[in-house]
Amino acid sequence: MLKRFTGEREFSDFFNPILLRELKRAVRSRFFVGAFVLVQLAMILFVTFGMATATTTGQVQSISAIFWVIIGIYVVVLNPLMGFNAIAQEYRDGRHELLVITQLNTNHILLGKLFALNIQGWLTVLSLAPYLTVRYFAGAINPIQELLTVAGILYASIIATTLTVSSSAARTRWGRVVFFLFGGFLLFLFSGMAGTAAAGAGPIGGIAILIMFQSFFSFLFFMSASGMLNRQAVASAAVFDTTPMAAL
Amino acid sequence: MAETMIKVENVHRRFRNVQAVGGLSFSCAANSVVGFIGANGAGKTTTMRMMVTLDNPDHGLIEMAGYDTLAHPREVRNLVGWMPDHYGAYPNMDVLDYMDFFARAYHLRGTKRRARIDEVMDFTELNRLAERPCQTLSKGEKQRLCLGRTLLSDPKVLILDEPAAGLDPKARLEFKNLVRQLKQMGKTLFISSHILSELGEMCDSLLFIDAGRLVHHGDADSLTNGSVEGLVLRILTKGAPEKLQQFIEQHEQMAVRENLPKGASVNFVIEDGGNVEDSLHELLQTLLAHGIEVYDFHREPKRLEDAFVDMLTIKKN
Repeated sequence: MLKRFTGEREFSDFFNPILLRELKRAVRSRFFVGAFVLVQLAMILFVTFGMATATTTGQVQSISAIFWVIIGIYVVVLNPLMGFNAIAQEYRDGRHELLVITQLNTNHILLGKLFALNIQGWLTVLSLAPYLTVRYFAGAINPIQELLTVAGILYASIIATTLTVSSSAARTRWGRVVFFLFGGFLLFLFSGMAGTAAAGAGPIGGIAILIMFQSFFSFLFFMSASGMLNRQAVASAAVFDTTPMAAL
Repeated sequence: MAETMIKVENVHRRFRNVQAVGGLSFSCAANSVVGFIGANGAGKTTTMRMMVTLDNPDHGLIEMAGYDTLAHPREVRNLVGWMPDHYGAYPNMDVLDYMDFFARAYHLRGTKRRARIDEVMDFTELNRLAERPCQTLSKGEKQRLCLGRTLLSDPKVLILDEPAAGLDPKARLEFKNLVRQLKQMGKTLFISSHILSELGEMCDSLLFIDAGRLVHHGDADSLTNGSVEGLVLRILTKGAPEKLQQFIEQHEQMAVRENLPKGASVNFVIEDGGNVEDSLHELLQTLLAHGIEVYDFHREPKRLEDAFVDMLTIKKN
C-alpha cells in the first residue's frame, strides 16, 4: 500500500472531487495567496492606524466602509472573475470529456467549480474575524450591521460567481462574453423590477423578493451552463440537455 | 459461441458537409483484442467517441455488452474505459493525486478507492512515479498513466485511441505486454492505430475502415495472404537490373513495388485458376530464358501496410 494511503475512510470522501481538486489547486495559486496576504496587510493597517486615529462615529463608519469596499472588490469582483476560466480551461485542455465519462455529471462539475471559487472568497472573509473582533472590543463597530454586510458580500459573491462560472461553459470567447452580458443584464433588469415592485413590502419583504428573483436567475444560468457543457461533451439523449436561457 | 461485447449496426455520422461515418457495421466478441485501422480522417475516432457515448450516431445502433449507447449511456459508461489520444492532465498535479482524483470521480470511496489505485498503479508500474508531477513524465509514462486512469473503474471494455502513437520501441513493447495481460484478465480491448504491424501482432481481429466504411474485418493473415490478390516477389540479379525492369514492364502480371540496387520487389498477379507453384516456376524459367541472371528469387510475406493499401486500391477500382 502506498505511503499516503494508510488511514481509514477519509473525511474528504464525502465531498465533490472537483471541489477538492479545485480548492487544493486554488489555495496554492499565486492569485489566492497574493490576494489573501494583501487583504491581511490592509486589515492590519486599517485596524491599527484607522481605529487609533478615528475619533468620531462618522470617521469610524467611513473607515468601516473602506474596509468592506476592499473586501467586496476582492470577494465580489476579482475572485468571481476567475470563474470565466473554470470550464473554458477544461475545454482547452480536452478534459471535459474525461470528466463526464466518469460518474460525475455536468451538474457535479459545475457545482464543484462554483463552490471552490466561492469558498476561496469565504475563506478570505472568515480570515477577517480576528480584525472584526478587535474592532468590536474597541467599541468601534455595530456588530449587527457588520454581520449583515458580511452576509451581503457573501450573497453577492455567490450570484457573481454563478454568472461567471456559468458563462465559462460557453464554447467560444464571444459566447462567454455574450452569456455574461446578457445574464448580467437580465439579473439587473429583473432585480430592479423586483425591487421596485417590492418597495411596498418593507425592507425584509423587498430583500426576500430580490433574493428569490436573483436565485431564480442564478439557477437558470447554472442549468444553461449544464446544458452547454453537456452538448460539448456528451451528446446523449438521456442526459438533461436544454438551454433555459434560450427559452427565455 | 463467444458473447458479443460490441455491436455496431449501420452507423452514420455526418459533420456538416463531411460524412465521417457512413453505414459502418461490425461486432466484436467478448475477451478479444480488436484493432481498428484506418488512415487519418477515416472515421476511427468518431466511431470510438460514439461507442463511449461522447457522440451520437445520426442513424444506426451501437450496443456495448447489450446496452444501447443512446438509451443507456450511464450503463455504457460504467462498462467502458476510454483512453483518448490526448493526455488531459492538470498542471501541478502529481501522479498519485491524478489517480486519486479520477478514482473519486468514479465514486470509489475509502479503502476501496485506495486499494483500487494501489492495484492499478502496481499493474501499470506507476508506483515508482507516484510523487512525480504529471507534466514531467515521458510520453510512455504518460500513456501508462492514461491507461491507469482508464482502468480505475475496472471496465469490461477498453477503448484505446492511438495508444502507441509516439512511443519509443521499449515503451511499445511494454504496452503490448499490458494489452496481453489485460486480455488475460478477461477484458475486451478495442484499439485504434495506423501502425498496422503492431496491431497485427497483438490483435485477434482487425477492422479496416476507409471514408467511414468498413473495408475488411478479419485477422492479419487473412489480409496478407487470403483476401487480396497478388504475391510480393523479391528478385535480385547479377549485373545491371535494367534488363529485369524491362522484363517487368513487358509483363502485365508484374508491377514494380520498389526498385532495389540489384533488382526489384515485384507485385505478381497469378492468372485466374492458376497454381501458385506452377506460376512461380514458370516465371523463374522465363526470366532465365530471357538471359536475366537471377541469383535470388523468393516470396516476401506481404506487409500489413502493403496489403491494406492494395486492398484499398482494389476496392476503389
